[in-house]
Amino acid sequence: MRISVVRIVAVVALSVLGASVLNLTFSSPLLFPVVLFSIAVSLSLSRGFVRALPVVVGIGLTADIATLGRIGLLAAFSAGVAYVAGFISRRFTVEHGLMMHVFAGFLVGAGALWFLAVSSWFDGSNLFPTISWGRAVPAIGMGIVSFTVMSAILSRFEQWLSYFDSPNAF
Amino acid sequence: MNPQGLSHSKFFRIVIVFSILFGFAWWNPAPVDSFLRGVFHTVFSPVEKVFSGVAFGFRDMREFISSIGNLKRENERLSEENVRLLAENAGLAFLRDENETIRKTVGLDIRKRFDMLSAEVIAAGGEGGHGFVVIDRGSMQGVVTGMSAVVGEGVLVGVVDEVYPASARVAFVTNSESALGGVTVGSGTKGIVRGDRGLGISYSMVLQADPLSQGDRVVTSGAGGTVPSGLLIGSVSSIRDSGDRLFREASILSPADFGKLRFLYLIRKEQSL
Repeated sequence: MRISVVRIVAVVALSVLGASVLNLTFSSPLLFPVVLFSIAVSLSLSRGFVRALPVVVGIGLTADIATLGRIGLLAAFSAGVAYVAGFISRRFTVEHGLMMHVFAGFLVGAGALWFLAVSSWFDGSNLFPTISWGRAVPAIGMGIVSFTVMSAILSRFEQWLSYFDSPNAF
Repeated sequence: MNPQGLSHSKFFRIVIVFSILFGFAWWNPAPVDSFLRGVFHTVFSPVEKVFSGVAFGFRDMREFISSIGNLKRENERLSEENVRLLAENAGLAFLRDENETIRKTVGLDIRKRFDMLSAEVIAAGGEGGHGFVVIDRGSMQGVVTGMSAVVGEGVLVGVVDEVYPASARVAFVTNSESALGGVTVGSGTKGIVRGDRGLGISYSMVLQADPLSQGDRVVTSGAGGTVPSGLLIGSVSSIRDSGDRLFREASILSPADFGKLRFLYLIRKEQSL
């Protein structure tokens, strides 16, 4: 019960962080999707796609509501990148640690670019032709950094939760 | 694979989940979306206010630190600028009087003209992160849908399109869904002001015969009755023919920096003068 409350608070805090901090402080529209997809990939790699899916969809929907976009779009893309991460997770785990971050960063960056393009298409314009390597490389770089940070934070968070849930805590 | 195995496969799950979520985003039911956003931004409005305060503080600090390195260069530039501005000052004295006349003509003396409500931005999003903002005023403070949001001396930045109990959503004029009537100051050329993917503003449906030139200031025409007339939208920056060449269209440069807005005013009603 306590853990569920903490998880829900964390999801809400993440969504408010996206809408009220990242979107207000930085001009890059890629930043919050990159952070969100990094979390989706990290969850899918650490828990497995099937166990991660409900959490990923929950985070995505909350983020959709908080960030004023079309409800369902961030959640759909989060689920998509989580599935792809789960699908190629064997490659992630057998490869060298650095390559895992590169794979994950590529997935996150490409997912964020496609999310922006689809989002613009919903709004009546077409950004698909603007997707190029010139834009993809910084997005992938952001994805690598974000995945490294978010996977570390999630790992610490899960450790803290397991301690929090132990009978002797407090 | 047998049917039961298929229904439990990862691929089957992702197809179902993705279809439902993508379908919902496609459908985009405004009442449901508005209700969900209303609940979220009402419950978490205080948290958003704290987070946005931290964000604005961080942004100010970042801008201050990045400006330190430019101080010497900035100082030299300002010295040169000062000499040039002294020369221009004499000419501007004449233009000031002319400007005052225009302001009175088109009604830009905004504080005398409107009853206004101040608001602070607490969240942003949509259309690349800058299509909408959430403000800390809602129906409890008398905010209603259709109120115009302005900054400075009557520069229109958006219109309230969703109202929650303690907060409201403002759709920027740069938003793709935004469309309102505009007219140029002086020549009176009418057109439609539309948002462009959250990135800019276009001025379309301008008749080929009507005069339009770079630098013309575009204000709201008041057509439709929702947005008052005479609010500055921006100045014409580039002009081109429309696709069918029946009309002309232009890009409008707004004096407001939509990515850095913190405070804005909502127009409650027009004062009787």
